[in-house]
Amino acid sequence: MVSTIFVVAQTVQERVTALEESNTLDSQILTEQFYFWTVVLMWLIHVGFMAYEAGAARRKNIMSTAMKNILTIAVVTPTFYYFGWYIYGCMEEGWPKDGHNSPDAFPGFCGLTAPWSEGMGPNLQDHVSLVFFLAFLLFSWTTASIMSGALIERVRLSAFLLLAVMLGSVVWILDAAWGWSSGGWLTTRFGFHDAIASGVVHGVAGAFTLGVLLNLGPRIGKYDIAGRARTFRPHNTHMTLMGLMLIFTGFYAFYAACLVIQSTAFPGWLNIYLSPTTLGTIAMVITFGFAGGFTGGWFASKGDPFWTLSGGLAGVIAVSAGADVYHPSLAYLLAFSGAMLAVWAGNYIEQKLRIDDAVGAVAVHGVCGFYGVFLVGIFAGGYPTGINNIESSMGGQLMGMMTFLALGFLPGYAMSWVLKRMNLLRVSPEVELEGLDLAEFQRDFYPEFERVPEVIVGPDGEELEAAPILLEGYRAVTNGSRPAARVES
Amino acid sequence: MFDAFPFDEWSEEITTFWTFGTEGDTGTIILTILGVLLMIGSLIQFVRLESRKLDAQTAALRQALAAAEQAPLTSVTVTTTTITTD
Repeated sequence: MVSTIFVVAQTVQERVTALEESNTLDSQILTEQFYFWTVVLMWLIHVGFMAYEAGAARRKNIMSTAMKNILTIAVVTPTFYYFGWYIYGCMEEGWPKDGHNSPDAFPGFCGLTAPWSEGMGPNLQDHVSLVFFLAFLLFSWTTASIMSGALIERVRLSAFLLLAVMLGSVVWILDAAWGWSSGGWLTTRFGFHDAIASGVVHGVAGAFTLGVLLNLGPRIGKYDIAGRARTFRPHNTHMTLMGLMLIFTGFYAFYAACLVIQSTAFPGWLNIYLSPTTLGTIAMVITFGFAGGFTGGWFASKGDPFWTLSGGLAGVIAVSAGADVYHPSLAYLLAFSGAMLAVWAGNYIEQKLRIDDAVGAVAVHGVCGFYGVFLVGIFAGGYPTGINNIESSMGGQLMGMMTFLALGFLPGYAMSWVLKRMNLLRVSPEVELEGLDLAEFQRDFYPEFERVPEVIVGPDGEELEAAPILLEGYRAVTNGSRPAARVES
Repeated sequence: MFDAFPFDEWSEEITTFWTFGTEGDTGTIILTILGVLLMIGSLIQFVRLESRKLDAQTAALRQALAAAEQAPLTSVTVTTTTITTD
């Protein structure tokens, strides 16, 4: 009798153990699949950025603009693999190193991020490391793509790629280690809260872009002698708008990929700081963020199509930092304000500061990114963040903002300054005037369409023939050393 | 855990079996070094190749402008842009 009970108990124990193992494996594979599909869908962000920027470019710069987005993948992927991911895994504590007193949420994570480690190649025991890496890699591409649009039509392709490496594989991932990880010093010491990366991705990329733009300078003809801004006509606004819609679609996957899910290790969905949330919560916030953003962009720009859609993006960015805790109504209201802020900031940067940001990236991503971090200090203050349960506060948010502003701006400014000194930052005025596509690729990419005269919108809104204006700008750039001439398309 | 083909042995004994060794092996380190060299080399070549193209095009355009300067009231066609002196 006793022996029968013992045998039954042993059998039950074996089955329970087998079930536990099976459950753990299933859970890990579900996690693996989840991140895999977010990566697939996040590709749409890059399809979108490419269409968005190529559509915003003039006909003579289409392929050189699109090629930046394509080759971003070629350079950021290996650099992020060889050293970017290691920065994230091993530099969370940053400075100051003392005073963390944090449990190690992922023991040995640093060692798994080296390119020769067991976490970075085929590993039958590890279903999570590689897809987690890939999700972060897609974030890295995104940071570089944010910068990309601002620089179009005059930056050298290779200069952009070097800057993309600095931003995508060093700068943003260092700030992510500090303020967007369970062990980051900003989180464990100051309760810094930026759940879906308002500041970590968008704000830092915007600050970096601002630094680059200061050295790059405006496109020839962008400003008249009085410093008033002209507007270049996008060659295909439909492509630009479709690109933005693709970015929005990919952003749902971006949002989802910012969460952590592994049911046998954690109780449900967690944000990046390992505080609990749900997928539905952030999905509602991004949706209402778009709604509020489109509305704010529409009204602030008085119905301008470009700014209406950019307003949607700005709205979402403004609510991303608190997307894990905001009520949908709050997200709607804050996104509305964020979009209006983006339009105003964009006009201010273009017209008052005279910085030629071709797609408004500094306003939409930079200004609204930091605005989003700031809003958490007001609307989510007191919310316990991270494994140390430090309450979010305005002080912690400001600490993060100051850190990220410097961390983003200074490397962007310094590196572009060096490239400028080496004459590697910008194409020559002659090439810029003629168009980058002919210099880079020796061809026109709409050969079946007649080339119509290029027009430019003057400061007062009138459409003008672009050629004489561009030549005037060219002469100004080359110090009047060129003959008086006019250009006919 | 599984009754069929020895999956358990696979996952326990062959955790990392990579192209030229396992994690941290000499073969893996060599592959990593080669990858880093390709990465650095491609970054340098991106700059050099583009510089050659841009320098050539800039020189051609400046030559065309100089020609236009020496021949007043004539037209010089530069690929897609016609530049005419006043």
